[in-house]
Amino acid sequence: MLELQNVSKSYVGKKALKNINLQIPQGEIIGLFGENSAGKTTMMKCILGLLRYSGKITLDGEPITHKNITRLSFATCEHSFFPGLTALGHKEFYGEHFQKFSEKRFDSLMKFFDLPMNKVLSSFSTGQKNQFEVILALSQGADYILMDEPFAGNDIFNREDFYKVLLGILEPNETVFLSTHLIEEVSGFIGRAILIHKGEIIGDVSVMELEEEGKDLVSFIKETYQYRSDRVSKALEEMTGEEES
Amino acid sequence: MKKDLSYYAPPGMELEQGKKVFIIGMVMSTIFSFWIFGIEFSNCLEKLYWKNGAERCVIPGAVMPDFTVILGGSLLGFDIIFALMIAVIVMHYGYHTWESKSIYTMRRLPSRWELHRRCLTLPICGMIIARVTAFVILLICYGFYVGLTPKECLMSGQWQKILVWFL
Repeated sequence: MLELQNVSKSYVGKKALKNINLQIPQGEIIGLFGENSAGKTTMMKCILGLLRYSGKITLDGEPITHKNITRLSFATCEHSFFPGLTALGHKEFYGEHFQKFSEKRFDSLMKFFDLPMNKVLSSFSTGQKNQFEVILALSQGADYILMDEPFAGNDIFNREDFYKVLLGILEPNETVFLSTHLIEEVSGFIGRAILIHKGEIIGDVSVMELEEEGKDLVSFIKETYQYRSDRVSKALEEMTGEEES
Repeated sequence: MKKDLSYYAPPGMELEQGKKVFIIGMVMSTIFSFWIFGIEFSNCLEKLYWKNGAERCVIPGAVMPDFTVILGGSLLGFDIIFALMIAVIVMHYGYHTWESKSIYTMRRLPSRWELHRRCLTLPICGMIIARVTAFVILLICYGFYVGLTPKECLMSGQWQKILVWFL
């Protein structure tokens, strides 16, 4: 169980996370949703120990240190691979450092996405880089796979392929914690949705429960965010009105 | 992973160019050191003698300047290499944040010193090599200085001065 207790993070003059409390058990696919600057990336970076924070983050009751960090992997739209290294070089590097690295999964995914093994990453297209980033995270052998908007720049076909693969390869003990804006696309396969707004969790719901209530994820999110669908037409009306007068 | 030089550098970092620059720098610095020292030393040595026909005689009371004065900036090339190695350290750390954020991967590794090992090992080795080579050249030059200078023209306490100067 990955657990966050009263986690807060401040940047200069701004609170990015405010007393976050969260429990993430193994074997779930969880979506993390929120507007830009809501705190999604900050939360993930705090979990990974990439940022300092106040509060407590534990993994099965233990603080996250170099001893258990390999149980977490990370795919980010910022990309965490080595630009001058080939895919094969990455395979060797990960194999050396992560005991549970799955060469078999790596090779299968490389083949599936048709990525070149002997080219350096800097020569990959943006879409290929995103795919490779995700491949590394999925192959590391981690129990918790954190993904921060990993498909930014990928086309719909690429993304759909990825969703299918993800559902097909995940082991029951693997957890995916996925931050994305593509709510409609992921609503079909996530089991739980966490909504974050201005550094606070404002919603945490099981998708199955939502369905039982006859609601869909997109409407729930809009409702929770108090999204006003009429605000565009009102704004347009106002603007048009101003021009006329 | 093969344990060649790349094992001690940031993963995927181009090493060949850096290796060439370092070797050329070392060779140039060595040549520069001997050349500058040779010119200065031969000038000072010449001033110790007067010519009595075909015979060269030591001028009575003539004194050879201190070794460190003659050495002057001869070893400057190695100081430049030393400073460049500091720049390489900055570049190695920077490599992990410029084109991608591979720093995230390095900081997630179970081996907590991996990042520093890969960023520091080669530049520190470069610094040591530059420093040791400079010291060896200094010793060779000192050998010439002591060996070729007439004994009566040598001033005492050269070693203390050299150590203070070098350190």
